[in-house]
Amino acid sequence: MRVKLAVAAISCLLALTIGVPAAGAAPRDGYFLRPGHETVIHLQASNGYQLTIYRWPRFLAIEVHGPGVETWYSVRARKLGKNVAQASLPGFGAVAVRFAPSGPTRRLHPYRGCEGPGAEVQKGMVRGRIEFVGEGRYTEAKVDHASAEMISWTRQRCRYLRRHPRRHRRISASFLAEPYDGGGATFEARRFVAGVRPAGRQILFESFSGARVGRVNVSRSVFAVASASSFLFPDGMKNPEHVIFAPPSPFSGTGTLQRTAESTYTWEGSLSVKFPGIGPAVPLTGTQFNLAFCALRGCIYQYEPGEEESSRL
Amino acid sequence: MLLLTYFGHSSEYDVGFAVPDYGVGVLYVTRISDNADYSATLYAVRLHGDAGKGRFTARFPGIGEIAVRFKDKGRPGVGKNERGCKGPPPVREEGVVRGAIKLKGEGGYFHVSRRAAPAELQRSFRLKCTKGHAAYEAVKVGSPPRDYVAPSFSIPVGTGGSTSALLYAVARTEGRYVAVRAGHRQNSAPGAEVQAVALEGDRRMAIAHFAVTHAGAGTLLTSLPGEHPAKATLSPPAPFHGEAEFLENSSGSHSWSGSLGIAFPGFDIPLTGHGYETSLCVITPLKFPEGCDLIKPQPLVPESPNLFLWRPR
Repeated sequence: MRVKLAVAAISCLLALTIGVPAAGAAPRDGYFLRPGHETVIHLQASNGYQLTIYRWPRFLAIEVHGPGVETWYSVRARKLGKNVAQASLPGFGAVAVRFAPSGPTRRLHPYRGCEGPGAEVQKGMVRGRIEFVGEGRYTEAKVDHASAEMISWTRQRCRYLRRHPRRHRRISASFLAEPYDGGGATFEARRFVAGVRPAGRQILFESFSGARVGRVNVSRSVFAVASASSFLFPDGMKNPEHVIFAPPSPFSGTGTLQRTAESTYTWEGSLSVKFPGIGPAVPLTGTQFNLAFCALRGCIYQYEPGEEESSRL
Repeated sequence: MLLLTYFGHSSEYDVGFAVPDYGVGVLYVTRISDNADYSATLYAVRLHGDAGKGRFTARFPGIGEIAVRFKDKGRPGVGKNERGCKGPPPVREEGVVRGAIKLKGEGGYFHVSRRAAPAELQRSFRLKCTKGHAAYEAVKVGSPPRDYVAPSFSIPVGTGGSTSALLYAVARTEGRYVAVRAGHRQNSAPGAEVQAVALEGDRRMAIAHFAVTHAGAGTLLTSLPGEHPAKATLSPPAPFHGEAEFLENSSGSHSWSGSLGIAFPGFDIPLTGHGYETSLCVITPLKFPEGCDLIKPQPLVPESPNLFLWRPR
């Protein structure tokens, strides 16, 4: 299952980078996916985290995931042989391994929206050296072998997938606060329609932060689920523009959205988030955020002054 | 036929004159600032003479007189008919008007005295058009002068976006129609667009004064949607002065009071007091995504003058 999800996600990513826009006999709303391959390596790290390493022809990425946490560290890599994964992540570690297949291959179902055979998966092992240390040593791993899969696919003719309308109806309200300057962290909250998810998981909170540390692109995200009381309308639907968010750990504090006498909105409070290994908690409220809040029949937006006409959110 | 002529710049104003049909002439005095604030006064009178032959006199009681003749320069240019229409194409002649042009605004706020001015004469002819392609006429040919300074009343719409707070005050007082409209556009920065208009006249001349200002924080402050008693304060910058308050009473009626007024060129008008009808709309886009402008019937106010702004190339 993990392989299928990884393949689906990666194929979409690759289509954006190496997919060829539709031409000739390609679908008008589609693209061609070039033949390719990737290596996926799985290993356990310290403090309850797991590492998944993805190796593509020119990129290597390490995904660190744990309960409510997902951090990606990615670098450009030299194009080497198909069975070789090698890259240095200065400040974080290095990968230098060779894939050795074992056992028969199996074929996956065709990609959704694509015409062509499904990808082929070859299980095996990688041997060599894998070292990784997260910021502040929040997790570490050092191994000389690990289980892995080599996934290969042929040229595919694909169409762009449309967003499933049913998914929108599952969400009754959503909120996004995004810093003006791209620094700091975003905060997102989604309230699912009652009954769609268990009561204790009706609200989904997420926070995302990106940074570049030398040659390494680091993308951090954390998420938490909670009950409806964490996405609260204190005045009920009489005043749906007054909302208080109180997500659980790794978040702390509360954030309040409120309309002013000017008919603009404030986003205030003590809400912050702690990313693994990163210094103090990152504040998630203030005046330097673009805001978007949707509920009932419409949405409200507030942008950085001077950017009102853009559609950034 | 449409004759456009430009008399030049006087004090802070551009002064021009237009003959939108054979029987009416409109003098327009406008001031537009860098941030799109503008004020304008239009004076419309019946013409004497033969405007069809480019020779006419326009008398503006208390303002002055224009007695000129159009003289073309060079070959006329031939335009193209609207798509879907058949008939003689429109003709455009550049030239000058020569004669006597002596005008002075109330209190001397503008002053023009010259013997000639650049002009352009546009002639269009009877056309046969397929359904849906005939050009829209804001004012029917043969209408009285008043219709050229106060275009057909229409549903008021904000400038490019719905409003989430909208305040109107309208009165007929001392022979004038006076209105003020203040609105905060959804998703915009603190502040409001404030418009005022005063229409007056007799059988000799119709006059319309317009002012629009894009004002900043503190201009329009209101209670929250659904909050009672509903209230609003309006305190826009120049050319307005003073402040007004709208307050809902316990009985559901409301009061409109304060010192708010506007300094139009040459005279000052109070915008509060006896005879004003007012309405306040404060909505949340979450319940009313279409905004205040279409929520309920508002006192009808011409949103902007029918300006014939033209300057020679």
